[in-house]
Amino acid sequence: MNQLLTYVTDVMTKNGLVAAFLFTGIVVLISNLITEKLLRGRIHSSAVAIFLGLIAACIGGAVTGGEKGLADIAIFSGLGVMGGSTLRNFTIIAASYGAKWEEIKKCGLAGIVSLFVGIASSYTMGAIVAYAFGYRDAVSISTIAGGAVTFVVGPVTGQTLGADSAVIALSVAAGLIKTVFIMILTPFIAKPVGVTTPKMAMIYGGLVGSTSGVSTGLAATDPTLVPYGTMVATFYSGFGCLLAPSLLYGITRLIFPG
Amino acid sequence: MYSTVILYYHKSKIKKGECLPGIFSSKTTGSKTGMIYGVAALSACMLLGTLIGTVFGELIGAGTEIGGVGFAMLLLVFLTNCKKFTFTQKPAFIQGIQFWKAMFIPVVIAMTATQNVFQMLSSSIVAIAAGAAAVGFSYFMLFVLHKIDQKKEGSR
Repeated sequence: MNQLLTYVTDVMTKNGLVAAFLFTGIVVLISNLITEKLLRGRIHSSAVAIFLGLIAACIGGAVTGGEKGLADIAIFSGLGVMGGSTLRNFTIIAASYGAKWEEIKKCGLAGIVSLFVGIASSYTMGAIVAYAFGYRDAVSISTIAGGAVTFVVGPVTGQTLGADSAVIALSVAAGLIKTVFIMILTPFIAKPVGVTTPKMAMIYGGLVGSTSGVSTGLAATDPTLVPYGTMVATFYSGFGCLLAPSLLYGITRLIFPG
Repeated sequence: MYSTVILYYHKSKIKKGECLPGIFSSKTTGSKTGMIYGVAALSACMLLGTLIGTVFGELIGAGTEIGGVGFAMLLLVFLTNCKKFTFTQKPAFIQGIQFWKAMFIPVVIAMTATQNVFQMLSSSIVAIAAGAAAVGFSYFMLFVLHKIDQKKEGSR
């Protein structure tokens, strides 16, 4: 019996990507059942599926103490490939199929403006929180503020400015928390806040900016909005990495000559 | 070297429905366009978009690729919206793209299942506050914007 179990785990580990396909298929099935039977369709099934994914990641992290959620468990390691940046980018781009060129042209300017407003405001909020928790030197404040932009901007800013590694880790955590907040909250705040049209989706993507967060959150809200929000959000990290260690740090330095 | 990269029409100069004239008519692609063509076109968009993003990032001194995926999406939407590229309207071609579009949610599920959620839950309060503040303020701005929009609609 033990031998059989070893064979099973071997096969799944060696064909990780295929095992990941099976896993996600089962998760989708379970979430569809939950949505239909338990929730009577009140919450989008993809929202339930994503929530189950987060729970799975939690379990994985708790059991293994690793950093890759469920993928740290050998038979689920293929999830790392399936959810990795290449396939994620590939399917996000595919998901933009069906978007209307007219809508993008109409809302392009609003998207661009919200992009820079979003980066500046997230940075500012992060800086305020850093200050509130006792950080007084410009480098640390800037790094944490960068983390509040996205989990990519934080460490890039920190490394450029020579921040303490604990602060850099903090900035990554802040960015990841922001991403997970966006993933979970988007379906709930979408209606009250007006994220129901392509234009508002683009503005949303520009303001909050985390590509993973926005694509996941919008997918759980209204899949037709995914292309618009994600398209703007993909520029956020890059511009954030440009602005945070340079212009925004410069301004921070003026305020906190620490 | 840069001249080879600029195979790019400024989007505003293209009138509605007008595209690169006649290069990709249905005569060159035949009548049985397979699904792989759709996948290949999607791949070309991604690679080209990432390339544009890399060059763009270099040009503005970001030190990193900017919006490669965004450019790729623009390319795909442009390619498939433009009626002159008749090969993009073939059913098999569209199926190739739609399969991967359908895989988007499963891939996202896989992605969320590999996030470091457990550690995040036991994260320092600073990180949680910073992330929450950034998101919260954005939502607040959106709420205000939405209210302004609603007032405008109401007064019409």
